[in-house]
Amino acid sequence: MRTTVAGLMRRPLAVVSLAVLVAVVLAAVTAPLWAADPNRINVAQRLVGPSASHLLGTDNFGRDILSRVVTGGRISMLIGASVSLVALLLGTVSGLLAGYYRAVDRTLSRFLDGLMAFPSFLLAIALVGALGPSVRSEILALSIAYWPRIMRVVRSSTMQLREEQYVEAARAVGVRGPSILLRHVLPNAMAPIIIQGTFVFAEAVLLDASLSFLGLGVAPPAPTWGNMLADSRTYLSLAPWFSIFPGLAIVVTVLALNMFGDALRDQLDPHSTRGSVG
Amino acid sequence: MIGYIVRRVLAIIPVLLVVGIVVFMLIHLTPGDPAQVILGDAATPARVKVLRHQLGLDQPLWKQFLTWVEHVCRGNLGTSLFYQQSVVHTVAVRVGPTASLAGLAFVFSLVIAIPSALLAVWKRGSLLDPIFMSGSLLGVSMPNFWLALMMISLFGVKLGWLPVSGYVPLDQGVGLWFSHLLMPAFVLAIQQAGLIARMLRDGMLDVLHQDYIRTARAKGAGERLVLLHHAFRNALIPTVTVIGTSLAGLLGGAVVTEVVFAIPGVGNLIVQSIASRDFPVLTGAVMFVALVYVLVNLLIDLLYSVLDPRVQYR
Repeated sequence: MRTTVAGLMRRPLAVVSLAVLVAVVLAAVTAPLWAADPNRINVAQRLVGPSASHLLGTDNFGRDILSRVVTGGRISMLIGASVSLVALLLGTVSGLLAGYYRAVDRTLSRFLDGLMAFPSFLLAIALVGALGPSVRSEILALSIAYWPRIMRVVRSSTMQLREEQYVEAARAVGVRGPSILLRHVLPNAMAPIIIQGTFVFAEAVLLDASLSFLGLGVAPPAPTWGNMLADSRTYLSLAPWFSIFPGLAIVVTVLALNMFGDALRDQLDPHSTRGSVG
Repeated sequence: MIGYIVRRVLAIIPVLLVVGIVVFMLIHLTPGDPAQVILGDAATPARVKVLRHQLGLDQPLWKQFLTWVEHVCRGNLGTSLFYQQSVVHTVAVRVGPTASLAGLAFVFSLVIAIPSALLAVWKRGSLLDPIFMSGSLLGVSMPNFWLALMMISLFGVKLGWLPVSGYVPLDQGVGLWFSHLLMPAFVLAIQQAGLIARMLRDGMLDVLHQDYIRTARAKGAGERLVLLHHAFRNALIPTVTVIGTSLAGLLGGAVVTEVVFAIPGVGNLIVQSIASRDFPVLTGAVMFVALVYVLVNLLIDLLYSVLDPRVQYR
């Protein structure tokens, strides 16, 4: 663990991306302390360009875009983090079980093969459509959409680790399945799980933005990066800042997450040049 | 070989069954009573009860599922609540625009990905490599609807070179069809190209370490021959999987792009059906996309076994 952190700190891309992520989270968390009220409407100040009083300009209701972007970041980061946690939990538990017990594998993997027959975006959109838009159904929908992918990664490393001699030794001295999985298999399967977690985080932020762009995410007036961009469509040429800044926020965050994931993969798994697919 | 194909085709039956279960669950996850939704809030409880019976909603769930599967197998997916037409027809008329967009985006993504991956490997170790890597990472990290908005405001609104939205079928003129699809297809291609190019580059770099590359070089093969003849062809095999998934995703996953550019495709229909709570259409369209996804992936698998003679048909 300590060597991993030290190794990461020697990678410039990892340091830069981590710094960006920390800055995004800090800005989002501390927003109420310094940013203007993201929902205060000021009709006299509609669609004003960036200035000293509104660093990123104002939107079509005269609301401050900077405070809406950082407040929107709270929701995006919350959804991204929750989705990757829930999906990791579901995927790890089911992957461990399916990789270790053949009987579980037969039923569970069939079911998840079926889930994987949907493009993850489509599955998420259909689930949100059926459940009705809300933060809770969005987290649920995205977690289900990413679950099979993580499960496959965990399952394949479990199947490899199951054949290792130390697992056989543990079995021989009478250690039971669940504790073999938790004590011997899981710690050695952590690297690909964490790597997948960062990529799921990145994709969940992107997907969340798309969903709220389509009006299927968190309901307005609460700002999200996606619904700000949806509102900005009418004013593309009149107020370019309105569409540029929320988009940049998404790009910077997702790029930092992907870069960090790449660095983490290079650090934890120096042998692979590719993503740990399947 | 034929036995392998038959087995592979049969293997999609359980997958389709799960697809069916998921879509069926989707209908029943929906809050509220479908009969109530169809009749509206003004309906009397007695009428709702009659319709519930007509729709079979008072039957046990497993019986409803079997009836539903039977209907689906006969190609009867119900009637759109919004368009008052059969779901099959409603979805079918949307396939043309989606297929045009996906096809064009697919071609664009290969045209962008293959040369840039080749260039990055050819000039490996130079400044081009980090530029390539950050470019492909940016392609994957950018929300495509944002790229779409930026392109619309530049090429559509400011310069006025391209139409900002809409779709013109191919039979009304290739030029119009192409100009309407140019921006959306490019936006979709950027994201896919990022994935494909990285896969291809990593695959080629892997291959370059192989013994047969050293043999080829020892025999005096030039860099161009080694890259194009040996590295590229062998790296193509694992990349085909990514390309296939990307094509399958394009056929059903172009939802946001279709909405931004107002292209009347399947993705747009899905969003509309959610907004208008038209659940027969939502489930029908989702079924259709899943079916396409499964079939395209099956084709890729079969293609894979043709491309790579090492795959055994067991």
